[in-house]
This record gives sequence, structure tokens and C-alpha cells, in this order.
Amino acid sequence: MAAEPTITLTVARFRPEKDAEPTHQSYTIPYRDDMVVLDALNYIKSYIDGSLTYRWSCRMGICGSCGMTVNGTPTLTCASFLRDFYPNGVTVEPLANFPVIRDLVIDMSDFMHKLNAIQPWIIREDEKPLSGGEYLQTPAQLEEFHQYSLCINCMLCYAACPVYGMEPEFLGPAAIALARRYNLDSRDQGSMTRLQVLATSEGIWDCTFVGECSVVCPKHVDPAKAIQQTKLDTTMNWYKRLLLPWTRR
Amino acid sequence: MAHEHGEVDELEPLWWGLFAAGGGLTAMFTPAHILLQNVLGAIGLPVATSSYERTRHLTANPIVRLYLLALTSLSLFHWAHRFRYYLMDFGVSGGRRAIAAACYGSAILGTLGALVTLLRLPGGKA
Amino acid sequence: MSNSQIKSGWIRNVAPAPGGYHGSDQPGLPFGWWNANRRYTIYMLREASSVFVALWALRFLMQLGRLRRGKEAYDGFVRAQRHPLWVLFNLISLGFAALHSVTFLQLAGVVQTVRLGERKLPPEQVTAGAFAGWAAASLTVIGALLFGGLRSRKSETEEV
Repeated sequence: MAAEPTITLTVARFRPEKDAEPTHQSYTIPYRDDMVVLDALNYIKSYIDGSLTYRWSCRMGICGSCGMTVNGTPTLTCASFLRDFYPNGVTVEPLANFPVIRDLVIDMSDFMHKLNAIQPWIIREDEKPLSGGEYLQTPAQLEEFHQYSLCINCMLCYAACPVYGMEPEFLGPAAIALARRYNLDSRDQGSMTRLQVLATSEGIWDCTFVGECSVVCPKHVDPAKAIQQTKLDTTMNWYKRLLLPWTRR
Repeated sequence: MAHEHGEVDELEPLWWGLFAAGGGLTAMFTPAHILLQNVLGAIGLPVATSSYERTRHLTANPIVRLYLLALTSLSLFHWAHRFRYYLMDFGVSGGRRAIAAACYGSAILGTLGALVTLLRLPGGKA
Repeated sequence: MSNSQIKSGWIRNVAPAPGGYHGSDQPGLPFGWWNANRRYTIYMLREASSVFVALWALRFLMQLGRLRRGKEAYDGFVRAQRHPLWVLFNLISLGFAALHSVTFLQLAGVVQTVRLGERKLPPEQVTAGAFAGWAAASLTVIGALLFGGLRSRKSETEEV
């Protein structure tokens, strides 16, 4: 009888009540070629070590919960197939650039604050009464911002961004892309309001277009593009206001 | 370019605009200059800038001088903006205002130097 | 966000999570973070290219400054540039300038949307246009440097 194929996962552990520093622990589990890294973690937790702590939910790449560092790359563990590494082992660590609470769980409160800071909702100067009906939008108008609406808040882009790694005050790719999603929405009138956050040094200007955020994004939001286009728009408006002060934005 | 935390940076669009313009201009023109003037020209190809007479004649043209001013000045502003953030990639976190002043200040000084140099070029007649 | 403080504007102090954090409360990436993958490395080289492009501009200005001082001074500068170390430096500068051009123009299609009436050009076409522009600009510079400043036979005889 042939031996069952196995694969080894090396997983970062950190238990603040007893560890001063994070460590790594290796687990060897049965391997099937349809397994993803999340399946491996679930196997470990179910049959080997119930103390392993990590986030996951939908297991199909839409909730954004299971982002971790897999072999050095920020990845959704539900979308990362073991067969891409087999027979080599896989190293699983918490998402980079975030403080670690426990094992593979990171503190996302900074990210949540930044999403909130750009006011991700339709801002109106003049509200239509209910009797006025819906705000109508053509397919072409939807197309303008649609790509930027696909973000699942998985934070892989923040883990990939060296600017965020160096300066945690940086607003970050997802927040800026989300701001652009609303700025480009024909129903929205809040561009100037959001500019108060976007046009700060810690906003769009800290970005140096490394581009890794767009490389790791599982939903092809292309936050790098959103940021550069915001820089261009902000600059063009600045020059317009300077050189043609009679035109209102 | 006041660096108050969380405040809108009023001057940053100016620097970014210069950076982008400089990046575009140098991307289009600089490699051809270096290839002809400083590589092929240095090993014997008869390029204009290797010859005193030809260079005087070419730079007598005010359009050429304007082009050279744009190319050199924007090269400096492109460097200044990029370099200022490059330092942060190496972990330099403090002194942002001082670093920005030093970088853009150098670019401004360099531009003034370029202006003086190009204005004082001798005319075409030897 | 119960135990957070707004620092100023929208920046805030990040409050520690219950249970504490592991050792890297200090922000910052380790020296050499750019070696983690090829894209990071090329990014760092791309940023460095701006130094070489600026240095070339400064040296070209110095060369032009010699024009005022007469033929001897100018030719001296040109001769000095023929030293093999300068040629090596210039080859490296050329490499960096080309890296800058390729990376900058590749990204042009991402940043700049070009509209033809209602339609938006696909980014690949904008990038292709940018590279075509590079070729055209380069040919212009090459033409000017190869054929510029040459006085025609006619004007020479006229001056005499």
C-alpha cells in the first residue's frame, strides 16, 4: 500500500500570554491536490492543534477575511492551492505590516479607521426628497467607478505596500481606491470633502507607485491606478485654479 | 509645503506636477542625448556636442536654449521629488520638511544656474 | 475605535489591541526589504535612475558653460569626457536613463486616460503611443546631434 502523500506547513505562532516573541511550528498533514492553504489550516486546527488561531469565513474569495503571508507573499489562503507548492512545504505567517494579536490574527483597527476617514458613502450637497425618486445612472456612468467598487477589504494591498510598512500613517491603497470609487460616482458630490483627507502628505502624496498593491489584489481593483489618477486629477485642478482662477471646479 | 500631520498639503501638486513633467521629458529625450553625446560621441562618432563650433551654432537658436532649459531644470525637479521619497524607502522617517526644502531648494538653485548658463551662451558667430 | 485618539486632522494613534502585540510595534521595514521580490528591486533601481539623469543634466550644463570661455576650454572638457572611467559612468547612466524611460512610459498608460469622443483608449494603446513618442523624440535628438550645427558650403563661402 502506497504511503499517503503529505505536506508540511510551517506556521507562525504567537501567544501573548506566554510568548515574548513569535515562533514557528511545523505540522505535517495529508495532502490532496484540491486543497488550499485554508483547508490545511482547518485540518491542523481540527485534528492536530486546536489552539491555532486565524480568521476565515466564506472560503471562496469574497469576504476578505483569510488574508495571510504565504511563502512571503500576501495571499488569500482560500485561494492559494497547495499543489502550487507541493512537494515543498509552505510557510504561513500573519499579514505583514499589521500588529499581531495572536498567531495569524492581526489588528485591523488602523485599516478600518482609514476606510472611515475617506467617508465611503454617497455625499450630497442637495438631497432629493423621496418623492423625487432614485438618482439615475447610466451604464457608462457605472463603468467609470465600477472597478474600484470591487474591493473586498482583504488588506493584502496594505501588506504589500512598502510605504505603509515604513510609514503606518499612510492612508493606503484600499482607502484611496474606495475614495476614488465615490469621487467618480455620478451620484456623489463629495470630492472636495474627501480631498481634505486625500490631499494630505499622508494621503495620496506618500505613494511612490511601487505598484505591488495592484499585483497582489485578488479582485483586480488596481488601487495603484486609482492613486496615480487621483494625483493627476488633484494636480490638474490645482494648476487650473492657479492659472484660471475664474473657473470653478 | 507645510508638513502638518493630516493637513492638506497646498504645495505638493506643484512638486508632483514638475516631477511628472520632468519624468516625461527625460524619458523621451535623455537616453538619446547620453547615447549620442556621451557614449558614441566619446568613442569617435562626430556628434555636434563634441565640436565647439557646431555646439555654438546649435545653441545660438533660442528654441534650442528653451528646450535645454526645460530638459535640465525638469531633470532636477524630477530628481528632487523622487529622491525626497526615496530616502523614506531606506527608513529615513524624520526631518521631512528639511529634506524637502533641501531637495527642492537644490532644484531651484540648479534651475537658476541653468538659466544663467543658457542666457550667457555665446551666439552663433565665432 | 473606543480607545483611539485623533492626532490631528484624520491621523490617529493606533491603540494596542487587547492581549498585546508581538515585538514589531516599531514601524519600518528591515533594510533590504526590496530584495524580497523582483518588482521591489526594479522599483528601487528605477528610483535611483533619477540621480543619474540629474547628474547628466548638471554635467551637460557645465559643458555648455565652457562655451563662453572659448574653444580651448570647451575642447578640454570634451577631451576629459573621453577617459574610460567617464565612458563607463556614462554607459551606466545610459542604462539607468533607459530604465527610467521604459518604466515611466509603461506606467503612462495606467495614469493617463485618453478619450476619443465617448471612448476611452485601452491603456495598452496609450502606452504604445508613449513608446512611439519616445522613438520619435529620440530620432529628433539623434538627427540634431548628427547633423546639427554643420554650416552649409554656401554660407561659408558667403562669410569669406
